[in-house]
Formats: sequence, C-alpha cells, structure tokens
Amino acid sequence: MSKPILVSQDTSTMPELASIRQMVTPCYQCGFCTATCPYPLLGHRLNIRKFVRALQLSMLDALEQAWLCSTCKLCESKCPRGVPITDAFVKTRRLLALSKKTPEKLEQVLWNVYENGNSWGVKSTEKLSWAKGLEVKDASKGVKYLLYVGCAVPYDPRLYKVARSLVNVLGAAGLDFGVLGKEEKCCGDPVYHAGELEFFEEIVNENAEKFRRTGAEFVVTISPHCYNTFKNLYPSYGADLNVLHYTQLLEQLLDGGKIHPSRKLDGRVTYHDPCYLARYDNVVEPPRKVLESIPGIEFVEMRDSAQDTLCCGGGGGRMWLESEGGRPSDMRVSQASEVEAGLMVTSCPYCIQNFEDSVRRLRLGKPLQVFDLAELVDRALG
Amino acid sequence: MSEDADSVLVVGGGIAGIQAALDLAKAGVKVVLVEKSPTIGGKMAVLDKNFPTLDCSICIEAPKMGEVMRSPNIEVISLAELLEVNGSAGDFTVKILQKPRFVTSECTRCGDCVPVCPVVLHNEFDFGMGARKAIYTPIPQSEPGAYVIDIEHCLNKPPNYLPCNRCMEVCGPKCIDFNMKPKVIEKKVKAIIVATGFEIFDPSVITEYSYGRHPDILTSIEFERLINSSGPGGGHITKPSDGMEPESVLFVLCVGSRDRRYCAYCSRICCMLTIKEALQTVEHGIKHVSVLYMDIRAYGKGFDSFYQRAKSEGVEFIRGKPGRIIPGKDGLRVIYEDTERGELVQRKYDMVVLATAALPSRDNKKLAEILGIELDEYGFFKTIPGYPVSTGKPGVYVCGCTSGPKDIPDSVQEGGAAAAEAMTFVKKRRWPKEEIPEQKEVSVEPRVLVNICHCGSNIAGVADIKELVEFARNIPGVVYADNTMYSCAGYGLKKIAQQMKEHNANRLVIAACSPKTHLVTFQKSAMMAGINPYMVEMANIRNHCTWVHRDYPKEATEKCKDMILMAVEKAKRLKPLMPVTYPVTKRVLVVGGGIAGMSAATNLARQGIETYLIERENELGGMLRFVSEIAPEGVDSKKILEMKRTELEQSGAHIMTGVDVQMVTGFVGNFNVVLSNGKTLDVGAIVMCTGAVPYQPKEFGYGSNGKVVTSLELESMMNNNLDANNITFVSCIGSRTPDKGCSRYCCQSMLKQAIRLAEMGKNVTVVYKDIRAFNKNGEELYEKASKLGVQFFQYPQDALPESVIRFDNGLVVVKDELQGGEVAIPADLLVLNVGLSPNTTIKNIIEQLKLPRDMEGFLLESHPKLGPVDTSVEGVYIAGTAQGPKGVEESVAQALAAASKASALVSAGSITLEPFTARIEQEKCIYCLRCAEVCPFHAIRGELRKSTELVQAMCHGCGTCVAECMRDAMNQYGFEDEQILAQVDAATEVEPEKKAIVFACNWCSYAGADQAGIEKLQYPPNVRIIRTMCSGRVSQKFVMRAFERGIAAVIVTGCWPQDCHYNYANLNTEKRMERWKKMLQARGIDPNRLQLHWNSAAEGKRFANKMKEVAEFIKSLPIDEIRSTPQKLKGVKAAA
Repeated sequence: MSKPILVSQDTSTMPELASIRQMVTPCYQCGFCTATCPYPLLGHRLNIRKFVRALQLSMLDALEQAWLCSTCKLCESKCPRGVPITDAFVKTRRLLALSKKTPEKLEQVLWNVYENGNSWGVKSTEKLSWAKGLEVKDASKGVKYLLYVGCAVPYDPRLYKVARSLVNVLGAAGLDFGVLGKEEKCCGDPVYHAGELEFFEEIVNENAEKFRRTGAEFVVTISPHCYNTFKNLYPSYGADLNVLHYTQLLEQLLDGGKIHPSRKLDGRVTYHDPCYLARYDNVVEPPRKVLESIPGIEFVEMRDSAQDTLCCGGGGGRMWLESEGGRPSDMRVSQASEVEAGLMVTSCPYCIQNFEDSVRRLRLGKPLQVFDLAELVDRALG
Repeated sequence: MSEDADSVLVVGGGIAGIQAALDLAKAGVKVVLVEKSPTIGGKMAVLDKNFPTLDCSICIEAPKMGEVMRSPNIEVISLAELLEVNGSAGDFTVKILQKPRFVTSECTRCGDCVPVCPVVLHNEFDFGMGARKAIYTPIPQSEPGAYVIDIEHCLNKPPNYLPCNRCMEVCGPKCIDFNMKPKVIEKKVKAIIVATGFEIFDPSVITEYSYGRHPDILTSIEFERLINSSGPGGGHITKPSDGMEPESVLFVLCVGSRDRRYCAYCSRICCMLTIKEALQTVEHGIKHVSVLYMDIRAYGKGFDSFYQRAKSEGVEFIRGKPGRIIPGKDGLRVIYEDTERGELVQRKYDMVVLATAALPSRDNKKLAEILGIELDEYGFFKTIPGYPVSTGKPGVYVCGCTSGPKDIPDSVQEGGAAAAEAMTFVKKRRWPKEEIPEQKEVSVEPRVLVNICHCGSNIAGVADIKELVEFARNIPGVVYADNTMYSCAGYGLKKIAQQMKEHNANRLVIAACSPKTHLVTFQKSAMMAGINPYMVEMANIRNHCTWVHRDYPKEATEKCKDMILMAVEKAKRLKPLMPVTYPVTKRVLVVGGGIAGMSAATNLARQGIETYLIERENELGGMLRFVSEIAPEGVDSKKILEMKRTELEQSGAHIMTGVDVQMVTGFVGNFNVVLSNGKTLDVGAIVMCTGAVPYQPKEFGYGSNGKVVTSLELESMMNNNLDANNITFVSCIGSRTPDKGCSRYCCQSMLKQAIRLAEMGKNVTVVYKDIRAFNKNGEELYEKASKLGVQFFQYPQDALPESVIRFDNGLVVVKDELQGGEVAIPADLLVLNVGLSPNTTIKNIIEQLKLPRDMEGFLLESHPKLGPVDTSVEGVYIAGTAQGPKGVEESVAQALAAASKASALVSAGSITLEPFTARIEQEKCIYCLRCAEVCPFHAIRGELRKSTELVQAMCHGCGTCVAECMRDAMNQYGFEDEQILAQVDAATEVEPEKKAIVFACNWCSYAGADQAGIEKLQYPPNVRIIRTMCSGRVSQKFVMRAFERGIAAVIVTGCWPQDCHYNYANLNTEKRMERWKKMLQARGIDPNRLQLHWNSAAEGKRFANKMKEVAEFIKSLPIDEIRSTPQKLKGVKAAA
C-alpha cells in the first residue's frame, strides 16, 4: 500500500503555489468542470476537478495536466463557486516553467517568437507573403487604424485569403488603415500561456512602442487571441491600447453605412463563436449582426452557441501541442453538420485551421465549408 | 353587546399563513387573511406527497384549509393584494385591493361551466402539467370553493362586443356575474404577518441542462404534478413526450442553488423532496433511479433514515453535478463526473428531474416598501438574529419561506411563532359562536325530511329524481320528500328549513354530495328550523354514484335508493348532540429555562397570560451558555441570552430557578403540578422546553488523550488560550449512526469555529460526511471557510468515524475520496464535533404525562409535518432540542409556536370539542381495560377489574376503543353501533349477494371515493359506502352482520397507516382484520370476501380501481358460498 500523502497547509516555502492555492480554495469539488469540458469526453487525461483538488492539497506531482487545458474558459464561466480555473491553469504553467517542465513543442514556439517574432517561425521577409499583389499601406507611415495581422496568417496560405478579404472590405469602406508588415511581432499570447512572464513583458513594451510610433488610434486584430492579449493582458503591464476585433469594426462600418453587403449569397449558414471572443470578451452580437446583413443566407444557430460555445482546441498553446485523445474541432464540426449548415462561419484563424482539418477528415454526409466572416462579407460586397 | 375582537392581518395563505391564521383565530383574534391567488393552500397544495412521512400533501392540508374557511374569526380575502399600510404596531390601518372573481359564493362547484368554456389554458397550479379553462377551479380542494374567471383570457373580457356568455347560460344557480368590480377594503389591525412564500427558479437559463428543449426534462414541482393522482399521468410516472413509462430517471440536485451564478444560498428543501421523489419513482416500479448530489442535506428528524430507506430500496446516489444534459432521439444523454471514483460518465436517461432553487417572491420588494421593512441580499425578508420571525419593525412579522427557503414543519412552526408575537399586541379577544339550538323536542317518533338535489345535471342527468322522491316518500318515518335544483344554494337552504317546519320534521336527510364539503351547510338549514345540527345525515349520491356510474342510469338510480334508505335509517336513530365545553385554567407552565423556554415564557407573559417558568439549574440560559457565537448568523450568544433574560424579567413571567417538577396529574386545561420546592401549580397548558444533552464521546480515545476534545470544549479553549496550531475537526460524532439521525446544528457551528480558528491564523482541516449548511447564510459560511483556506475531506456517509479515520503521532490519516489516495494531515488537536442526545433526566414527568418519545428518545410531536409542537397529549406542547436537535433560530421559532398553541388553549378559558366522543356504559363494563390499551390518546384510564374512566376532554373520537370492547360496554356519539348496523341492514335489503359494503374513514378513504367522483372515474355500481371517523371504529359486529345478511364482500378502508389522523389508530384495524379473516376461514367462509384497503384522499384512481377489482371478485364468487354464509356464521358473537 502506498504511503499516505502528507497534506500540509504550510506553503511558506512556495509562495507561488500558495497564491494559486488561494485562488482555488472556494472549490467544493462538484465535478461540474470535468463534466462540461470537451477534453475528458474525447479521451484526454484532463480532469479539471482533480487538478483543482491537487492544487488545494499542494500535490505537485499531479499538476502537469496544466498543459492539457486550452484555456477556453467554459468550465470557469459556469463554475458554481466562481473559481478562476483558467487562471489557475495558466499560473500553474508558470510554476512548471520555472522548474523547466515546459513541453518541448511549446519551447520551440518560444524560440520562434524569440528569434523571428512569429510563433510559427515565419521569417520577417515572409511576413507579407499573404498580401502579394495587394496594395496595403505601411502603417509606419502613419494610419488611423493599425491592422494587426498576427502570426498565423503569414504561416498558413489558407489564411492569406482571410487577411486579403479583410483588406478588401476595409478598403471598400474607405478606411485609413495599414499593416506593420515585416515589423509586426507576435502579441505574446503563447508566451504568456507558457508562463514566460518576463519575456512577455518585454514583448508588451516593444509592441506598445511600435504601435505608438504609427500614431494609430485603433489596433484591429484578426485573431481573437491577439485581441484578448492586447485588451486584457497588456494593461497590467502599462500598455493601454484601443483594440478592436475586426468583427466589431465591421459592425461599426455596417452601422455607419460604410459597407453595404448587397450581393445575394445563398446557403444555410451557422456561426461558431471563438472562445476568446464570446467568453473572454462577450463579443457575440457583432458577428451575428454582420452575418444577418448579408442578403440571401439562411442563418441557423448551433447547439452551444454564444457564451456556451465549444472550443476548437486551439487556445492556450494547444495549437502547437500533440493530442492523445480526439479533437474538439471534430465535435464542433459535427454540431454544425447536425443543424445541416452548408457553411460554417467563424472569426478566428485557429478555428478555421482546426475546422478545415476536421471537415477534411470527417467525411460528413453533407458538404460543409469553413469560412471566415471577412471572406463572406468580401463576397457579399460584390 | 360584545365588542369585536382585535384584528391581525396575515398576508399569504400558504401553509405558514394558514397556521398563523388558525392559531390567532383559536386564540380569539380576528384575522384578515389576504391571498393573491384564487385559493389558499400555497405550494403545499400542489405537492403530491410529503417527506419523510409520505403523507398525501393535500389530504393533510385540506382539513386545515377547511378550518380556515369555517372559522368565524377568519375573513379570507382572495385574489387580493396589500396596497398600503399606515400607523404603527397596535394601530395599523391597511388597504387591500381585491380583484373580482366573477363567480359568487353561491357557486356549488358542480363544474357545468367548465366543459362549455371554449378557452383552454395552461394550468399554472399544475405547473403547466395540465390544462384549465378561463373559468376554473385552481385545485379540486380550492378554498374559497367558488370557481373563478380568468378575465384576461375570458372571451367576455371588456370591451366584449360579442360576449361569449356560455358559462353564464349553463350555470344553474346563476352565480356568474361579470359586473363584479375590483374593490379597496380598509381594515384596522394590531399587527401584520407576512407569509407570502417563495417562487421557483426557472432552470432554462442554465442552458447546459436543456430545460425547455425536451419535454422529459422536468422540474421537481412539475414531477410532483406528474406523479399526483390528479395530475396528467393519473398517478403513473409517464414521459410527457410519449406517455410511456420511463425505464430510467435521473434527479439532479442543486439546480440554481449553491451556485454563485444564480442563488448562492442552499434552498434547503430540495434534498429531501428529491429523495422522496426518487423513492416514489422506485416504488412505481421504475428500475433505474439515480440522484446526482453534492451533499445530502437530510438534516431533520427522521430524514437520515428516510435517505437510508431510499438507498436500500434501490435509489442510486452519485456524488457529482452534471455538466451537460443533451436531448437526443433516443433519450437524454447526461454527462457527469462521479467524483468519488474520479470518472467521467456518459449515461442515457429517459427522464431528468431538476431540483430547482427556491427564489424569493417577486412581490417582496414592493411589499417591503409598503411595510417599511428590509430585504436581505437575495430578496428574502430580513429577520433579527435570535428572533426568527421579527423584522425589526414592531408589529410586523414574517414566517415561512418569506424569510428564506424552509420545509413544511419549519414553516408551520414559524406561522405559529408569528401568530404568538402578533398576539402580544392584541387586547380584545373574542370567540364568536353560533347559537346551537337545544333540540326543542325530540319526539319519540322520528320524523325525517328528505331533500334530493339535482346538482344541475350532475345528479339529475343520471339518476331518475322523480323515482327517488317517490321512493323516499314511502320509507317509513319519512314525513316528506322533495327535490331541489341546487339544495345548497341560499334559496335551497331556506326552502328546506321551511319544509322542515311545515312538516314538523325533526331529522333531515340530504341526498346530494359529500358531507365532507357540505354537511356544515345543511346543518345550518336544520338550525334555521330550530333543529339540532347533529340530526342531519347526507347521502352522497353525486360523488359516490351519479358521477361514477354515468353509463348505468338504472343501476345508479337503484344505488341512490339504497343510499337514501341507509341515510334515513341512520337519521332515524340520530340523537341531538352538543359540542362539549370544558373549563381551562388560565395559566401556563414552561418547563426548562434555555433559549426556547425563555422565549416561550416571555411571549406568553407579554400576551397577558399568567406564566411560570421553572429551571432545574440555578441559572437560566441552558446549553447556549457554553457557546460563544450563534451559527450561522455569527452573533454573540452572551448578548442574545442577556437580552432574552431582560425581556423575560420585564415580561412579568414568574421565574423559578433551581426548581424541578416532582409530579404532574390532570389533563388538558386542568393540570396539577407539584414542584420540588413543595409548591403546587394548577395550569391549563404545559410547554416542555427541557432541552437535550451533548453526546458524550468515547471515540478517538477521548478522555484519555488530551489532544482530543469536543466542540463544546473547544469553545472555551478558543476564548482562553489555544496553543494548538494544526486543528482537525471530525464531524458526526454521536450523530448519523444506524440508530441516530443528524444533529442538525453541528455542521454550521463547526464551520463557525473553523472560520474563527482560520482567522486566528490556525491551519484548519475538516473531516466530514456531508456539509449540511442548510440554514440561511449556512452555505455562505461554508464558502467563507473554504476561502479562508480551511481544507475539507469527505469520509463515507455510512462509516463510523473510527473505522475510516486514524489519529496517531500527530497525524490524522483518512482516505481523500475526492482524489483517491490516503492523506496524512498534521494535527495537534482533534476536535470531535458532537451531536445531541435526548435528555434522560426528565423521565418522571414524561411518564406521568404519558408523552411519547421518538425512536431516538426525543419527545414525539403529534405530526411531523403539521403538528411540530403538539403532542398526542392535549395541552402539552414541546419546543427546542427536547423535540429533536436543532439550532437557536429554530428552537426560538418552535418555542413561540408552542406559546401560540398554549395561548389559544388557555386564553379562551374553556375548550369546545366535537361531540363525537366515545362513552363507557358502566353497567356493562367488566374493567378489562382493553379499550385503554388501544386508545391512541390515553384518554381512558382505570384499574384492572375495578374501574374505567374516559376523560372526554382527551378523547379525539376515533372510536377504536368501541370496536375493541367485547362487552358492548362502549359506544360513540354520532357513530353509534345501532346507527351503523341500521345502515348495514339498509344496504343489504335488496340483492345483497351482488353487493359489497365499503367502510370508509372520514379523512382519507371516504375522501378518496369523493375524489374518484371528482375525476369522474367510472366503476361498477355495486358498492355501498358507510362512513366512520376512523377505520378503527369498524367493529366485528358490523362486518359479521353484513355477512349474515348475505353480503358478497366487505371492504374495510382507511388512511395509509402513516397518514392516520388518530395517531396510528388504524393499526388496530389491521390487527382486527387478520383476526376476522381467520374467524371466517375457520367457518369455511372464503376469507377473501373481507378485504383491507388503504387509500389516501388524493387517490381517486386507486379507489375506483379497487372498486372494479371488487366487482370482478364478486362475479367470481360461487352463489352458494354467499348463500351458505349466514348458516355458517350462527353463533358468532354479535352476528345475531
């Protein structure tokens, strides 16, 4: 029989652990989190309640689960005792990082950011490859809106189209905007979620300075993850930015009569809310408003929409980590297929990558296309 | 000329408001009872059964509702709301808005208006599980009984250019009046009681549970309606989606409760309600029944054993909370984590029941403004710590769920408590009585008047009224018979009185509906004619005949004849009776000077009642002296005690410390008490607040190991110096063992101590079974302790602490169920959180008073739901931990409730009882005392072979003693042997070989037969029902006489044993039935011709089904079997 584990409340030697434990003490171990999380359902070893219990009892050995969470915040948003579960996961990662327990793949991402300023390792010279043949203003010459493209777009040719569509739409609206191009540097999202806070702070300072120099009034992001990082993480490091996710900008343009989606499209369309938009920042109405302005489409909600949305599996560094169980994006794509949508629209590069992957592998009864909202609007502008 | 009594306003007619109103009315106070909906009864009226007794809810509430309506001191204003309050305690002026009902009180509840109404709506009283029309009665037992028109949905809603008027056209007594207008009523009241109850959380906002997206996902209250015999499934558990029986049902606890997102508090009632529902589901034969829970909060008396029973009958309890409920084509997929196994489970269920939170009533905010009182953070009314019904504004009291979720007995208790507090402002009390005519002349010759009611077409549409009148006129002794369209309407009553005078009748038989609803009405007719009201008998030809034999008009008419004959034969033998009045000593003794006793005595003395409080110890205060803070409110107990002591001293109560009771004799209203100081006291009532004692532990080496202390010892250690740093609590020491229940107070006081220690910087650990923080602020306390870093470890619910927890070498070793492995917790001090045990030092007084105890040894209340402070001994009331473990607030509430009862009893100076008591005919009595043995109320005393005496004041009138007597030396007023035998004879006059006689008890089975009628459940017309008060009254001679007269079968029916209205008197019935069956068998008679059948008042379907079964049985009997019976029975006692 194994020896009983000594449970001591004395954590004076580990102040970091003590502060995380403090976050989870209200937990009464109902297990709702475990049951609501898609990962355990897909066969992953993640058991959120047990993770929290391990924190409550300062059981260091059981904390490595921290890397399995995609930080989608579904459990946290529904926790009956209001425990900041996601934050506890992220803070635990820092604890693990300090003892050099970061997974190798994530370490590589950190080096990518360190060396190239792009989490996917895209070199500076390639950072504008998506914009070939397009005229996009160089933001360093001064713009009102800084379009922050993010790391994924220059990496994945599929996403070129997203950025190009958005540029078209913004252009059609006559907006004064530009991009940083090869000067653009990762927002720091994967760095933060890997627990490398010192490095993250450095990135915040560098980016804030770059943004300031453009004189832009607004930073517009394509990725909800960049949006969250700028909006919710930067301020505590002294950088207050006016950030918009592009769906919010599109809503403004629509309301201001700057864009007129008038070309009729058809098909049954559903919208997937990216977790970082819907749950982190409650942005659920703007994309729907924009979608509904497009003539001809038949809009249908999936189960688990808006704040109840399910994760595609891409957040919190999970984009780079191997999975031992099934893919959350498969679940989500099946839900879209359940409501017989022909078009699954979303507004996050990770979601697009994951869903397209799932659609390719799943062989659904009815063909399902994955689109970014920007792409659809671009088409509808005709 | 007597002045009017002072008035008290009660807002809300649920069970708490009903109790407050009844207590006040009995104490001579006028009550204005304002109810928002068309009927009083509240949520209790829509529940199916109650926990843990499995009482039929409406069956035990309806008599109280009826009492409210009949009380001359209570004015019920339904469809009304409070508009305005001015003045102050002792002098309030209130304005009440009453909305029109559009149906007058002349309504006979015939129901003819309902089928013609074209508007079909959801019935909100059925929680959407059933439909109603725009004209409707919310529940079959509605009080006031008149139907009501929902004008918002009625086609006659103004401006009604094309009036529908269908109901008006069909209404016989013409009692529908669309000209009724709203009115504002102004009243002067001395005090105000708020009992507006609670609302139910709408779980559709918890999107992951898919409520509202699939018909088989229900709330607990919807499930109550579903399983109710008058609900849509007719008492069967069926899936709303397809009407099929589910194979598996899941119950989910804490839906909305204990959840920061919705209601942070514990809703307190749902654990037990769910356990009850789960048990009922298993009992309905459904195989897979699971409950998902976090903590099982079975805190009350008998709750834990009920929980155990549910487990042993196959309900599966799983610790977990579902993350998702996903409706699919083949059922409901539920995803949860079994937290004790650490496994994620996906399981299909056919039905899911959500135990939804109790919410504060929406009206609270407005009401608080009108009344000038405060709400708590959730919107319940705030109360003052130590004063559970006080709002802080003098003269305004709250009770029941108005101040937070509560179960029925706690609400009833608080209703009584609020009444008691309100009584302290009352100066003038009155007990208006109707003049009961002394029978002017009971002529030797009975002269019976028979009136047959058409009840519109309800009776006349099936039975041939003309033939019945003709038949009645030819019965010997009948001086006149007539028929009336609606006998119970005002004109009908006048006509009957007139005819009685004209024909010089001295007895009245009404062939109409149920005596349960209408006897009182017709007694009035008799009184108008100057005839004693007890000379009236009813034949229930509507509920028991025309409604249930619609398709056999000929047979139904024949049955009506039998029923009329039976009623006439009984009526001929009726004797005038008078309600009995006894003097009562206007003085109360409170035994025990703890917080309960002090509260009770203070209240009584403030009401102006001479009150004595005796305390055995030299100091007042009881157990609370050893506790520094009261949990969960966190107030200083010293301060509360000091306040209570001052109030007591100022109240004028006589306080005697260091004094004990030596001897008690006497009975209700007239007790004689000898005290240890030699004094004697004559008192009318006794309130027992004799407390409990802390459990003396042997566990964990307590006594020999200095590091092991009790929670009480910790109290004083915390106040002095505590040198331990790591402190571990073990809960349920001396509680929750196989023969002990939950001690109720301890979890919360433990949390309080843990918080205090954590705030002192100590490392605190709690090892527990369930955290039962059910009280107001209890869950918040639990959360606070967690936040302060107190660590919680669960140990198995069924384990004895020492079998799973070790304490040695400064370490507590226990398995952490939530993580899987064993843990070792450093501990310098082990605190045993001890429960409460019964006080055994009060044996004498208990024996002298014949007070029964419960299984654990605490004093037994008369009814666990509706009689939490009464005992089976009239005039003796119990409160505080003497009745069972509980916290301070509940003890005080109970004490005040007991004071309210005592006040009602003694302030009138006399008590009046129904005259249906038993009597001993001394010339025949041989003093064998068999009667005394079976009396559930110890009303008969005597010495074997020497004497017997029946204390009429203690007799409740069940008649079980009469049935027990072998010498015909006993009889019962109103239910005399001679009368019942005459009914048997009348019933067996024609074709007895085709019939069955059904003996039915007044409270349940007779009402069940009425219910079968209300539901129009058809059964064959060959049964004849004879009503007694209790099945215990059914004597051998009745049964044997029926067989001797050639009856095919005799069915004795009664309340389910736990529902008996006479303290389990019907267990005697069960024993006797066995004996009689053996007697039949010994004589070669088929014993199956005599059957026992339990039937609750709500089980109309069960009654009808039984009657069908009996008819089939009779068909299967060989005719020789029946014909040979009289011969075989020769010589059997009382058969001749």
